Amino acid sequence: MSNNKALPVAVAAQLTVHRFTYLTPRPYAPPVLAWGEPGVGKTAVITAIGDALNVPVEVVIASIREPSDFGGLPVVGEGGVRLHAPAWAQRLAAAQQGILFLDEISTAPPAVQAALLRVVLDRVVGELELPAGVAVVAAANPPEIAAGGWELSPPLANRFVHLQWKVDAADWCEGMVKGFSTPSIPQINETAFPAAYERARALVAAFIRRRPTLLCAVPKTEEAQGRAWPSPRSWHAAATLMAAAEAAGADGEVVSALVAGCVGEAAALEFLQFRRELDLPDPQQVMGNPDLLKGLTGDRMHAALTAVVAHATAELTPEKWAAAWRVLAHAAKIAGKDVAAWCACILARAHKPDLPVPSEVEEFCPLLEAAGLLGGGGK
Amino acid sequence: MTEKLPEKLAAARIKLIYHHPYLATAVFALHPVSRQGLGTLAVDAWWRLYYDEAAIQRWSVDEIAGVLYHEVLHLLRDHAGRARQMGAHPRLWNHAADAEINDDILAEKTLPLPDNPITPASLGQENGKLAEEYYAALAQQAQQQAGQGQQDDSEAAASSSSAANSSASQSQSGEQDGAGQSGGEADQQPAADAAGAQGESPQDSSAQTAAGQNEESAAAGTAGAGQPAAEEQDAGRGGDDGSQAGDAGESTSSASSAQPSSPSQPATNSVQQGGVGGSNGSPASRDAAASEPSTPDAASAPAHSSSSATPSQGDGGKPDVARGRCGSCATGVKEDWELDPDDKSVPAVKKAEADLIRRKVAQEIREHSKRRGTVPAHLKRWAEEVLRPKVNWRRELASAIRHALADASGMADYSYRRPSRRQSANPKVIMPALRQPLPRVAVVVDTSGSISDRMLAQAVAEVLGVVKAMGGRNGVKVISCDAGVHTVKDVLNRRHLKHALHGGGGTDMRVGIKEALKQKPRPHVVIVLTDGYTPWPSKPLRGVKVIVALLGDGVSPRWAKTIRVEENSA
Repeated sequence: MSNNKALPVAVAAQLTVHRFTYLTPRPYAPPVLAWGEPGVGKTAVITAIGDALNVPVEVVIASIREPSDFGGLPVVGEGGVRLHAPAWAQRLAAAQQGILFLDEISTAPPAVQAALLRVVLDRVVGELELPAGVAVVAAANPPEIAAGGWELSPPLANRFVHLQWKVDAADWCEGMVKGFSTPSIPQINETAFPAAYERARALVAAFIRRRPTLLCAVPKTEEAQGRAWPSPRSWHAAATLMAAAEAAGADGEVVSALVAGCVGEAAALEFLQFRRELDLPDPQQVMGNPDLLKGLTGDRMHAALTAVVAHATAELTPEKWAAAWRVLAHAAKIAGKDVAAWCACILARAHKPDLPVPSEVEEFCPLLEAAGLLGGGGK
Repeated sequence: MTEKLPEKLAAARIKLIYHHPYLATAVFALHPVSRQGLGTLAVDAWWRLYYDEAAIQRWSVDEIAGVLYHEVLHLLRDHAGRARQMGAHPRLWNHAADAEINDDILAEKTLPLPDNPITPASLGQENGKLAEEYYAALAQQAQQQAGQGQQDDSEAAASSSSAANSSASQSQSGEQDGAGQSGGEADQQPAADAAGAQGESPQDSSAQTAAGQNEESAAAGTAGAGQPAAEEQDAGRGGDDGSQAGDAGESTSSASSAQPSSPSQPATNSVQQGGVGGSNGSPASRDAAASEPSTPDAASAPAHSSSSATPSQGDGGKPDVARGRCGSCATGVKEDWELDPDDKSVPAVKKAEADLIRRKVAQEIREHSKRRGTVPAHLKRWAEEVLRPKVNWRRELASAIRHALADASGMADYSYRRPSRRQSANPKVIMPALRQPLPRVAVVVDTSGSISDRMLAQAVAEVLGVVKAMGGRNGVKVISCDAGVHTVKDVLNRRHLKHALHGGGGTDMRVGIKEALKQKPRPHVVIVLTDGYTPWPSKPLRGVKVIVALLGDGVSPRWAKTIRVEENSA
């Protein structure tokens, strides 16, 4: 479902970010490739998105077309052979914006796929160039389902943001009974985008600095090569889409689907984890001001407190010892006592004879005793 | 939200982390929600931990820690996602998932589980399998029973199958029947209606085994149909009197007491009660249990009073942790008493975040085992799977074949060699025509005996499937080869395979490959299935693609595309 929410964002990003010509590097919203079984309503949703955004939608089924439908029909004319663009391309060019939906591209023969390459990447049909305001969405069936399907070639695959199209039985049943809701269309806040884009770029760069091998990692198997994988281009796309999602107020699910769609699941997971950890307050600052811990959920509180304890015990001084205990006592008040108590156990283990027994210990004693750990781990 | 956490629950969290420090991230990611009257502890698919303080007082800290451990494993192993992927029946799946977890927890012997948990043994299964495997076995049992019932009474069968799909419908039928009847018959009738499908099920061997192993879990065996064996027997003879029902209840009491779904738990008890002579417990308890999560006590009361065999946990209330009702964390299907995933009052951990938590835990397990090496084997295995996902050899093989064939000269593709048939319509436009030569594939199979026939057959079948999908109507040539070539056969479908594999003895794939190239017409692609302990041609072959599917630890030549096929990998 989350991916189905990501799709409108990715489409809206294509329709919007080409306007930010003054940003460097230019934002790059890649064309969308929606993977899904036949009959899950891809076309219906794309059409609904087009209606909601009030732009024309052209549906072109790639597998029943010929290469000339995309490369241009060679027509013998006065001055030689001209490559004539088909009607759908001319309509889009006339409208100046719109959505081009290429269905079933994975079942198209290689020659058609090759011709598509130019449409998808350069937005050129025959000798006609599509305007920048045209969003390209392609749909593909997984090769194991499609009879005679091919994986995409690695260069083609790397230029898309890959989104999985999932149908949720519960959602479908509800839609069947009550009527299907049109997808909610996100509005990309154009004033917020540049700042979000800058943050996203900095974040991606910081991550790549730490994990340079993930900048470009072509997968070994042909199957994985036909999906999303990390490359400088796809990281650029990921940063753009992340910023677009942020500017559209989308939730974490959408961001993670978009990033994974650009650079692949494995790289995306590592990146998102990195992002999550960067979000934690700095342990040194927390020791000065425990209030920074406010609002953290349990697991993140645990991560922050572990960092504080690690920071204190790395180089134990009486001041740090006391400060760490103050942080734990404060954390016990604003969050679950057990989270702080567990960290207190670890901190207590680092106790040295010359350090005073802090008064805050009292607070954790009953709990640790109930857990049967006192005498073992506790002070 | 967390500040009011009962001390016992907080202590249990610490206790669990004390035993499994690497789980801290997952354990603290659970958002506790107090639910009065829930009767137990449960977790939904969005990492929200519902607890009833009364229930917590009943258990020891260690037991709560064990239950928490159980629920965290549901989340870590993504049982909800796996259930959705399979489209599994929630109740049945929950039993299978519980079995998958509990054998691991119990084998560790560090934390106890309260109240007779479900184990593989109690389902009549071996330890150490996947939930999917348990589920398949349970579903089969349920189907067999349903099938038998159909012969018996088709009408009842229909009601049963619908009941299987939703406990709600079950409870309804119970209500109606209860209302229509009176006295001694009332309690059997609802069961009869709902359960009729399984008519003779006590005779069903699978049900009996399950029952024999452990009364609690036998329920799982019948859960697929949503019906207990005992009830059905009454059902088969719907109109019979109380004493007969009593017999049925007794003979299969073990099975019936194992009811997986809440509506049936009280009902079960009432069946037994019917034998003793009581009457009115059933419809009421059924009703209450089925519809109101907030009043499990009401439901459990009659059940308690009526049945001497009531298990210690006896509450007919909705969730029943580690015993087939763990909340949506195990099934992915939202329960009535759970908060909406989008409810803002308690934060929900959605899939993207859950993946991050899983990864973090996996990393911590890996680090922990490097430092001290005291991580239970099942967690270590899980962590490795998360951090280094296995490749699916079937997909890889299929994709390699597709690529090889697509590269073979002129696969279904456009060509200007012949004019298109549409050409005449418009002489000014030049159009290509579609040409598709049929793909020719030869499979050289190493039959020297080191690879199981089952494995070989599976691999050949996989090749066959792909070739067929690509338009190869002539099937594949299968060449059985050990030290020499035994047979060369055209294999069109799986049935032909049985007669196509011959051999045993030394291994030399060179002769097999040579034979493959001698075939007329020459194949586009040669696929070699071997364990790799064989001499290879020293030079790359000209004009043909070679794919080696390695079913062992041997080596393959560098010039061939190699795919490692692992046994038992899905």
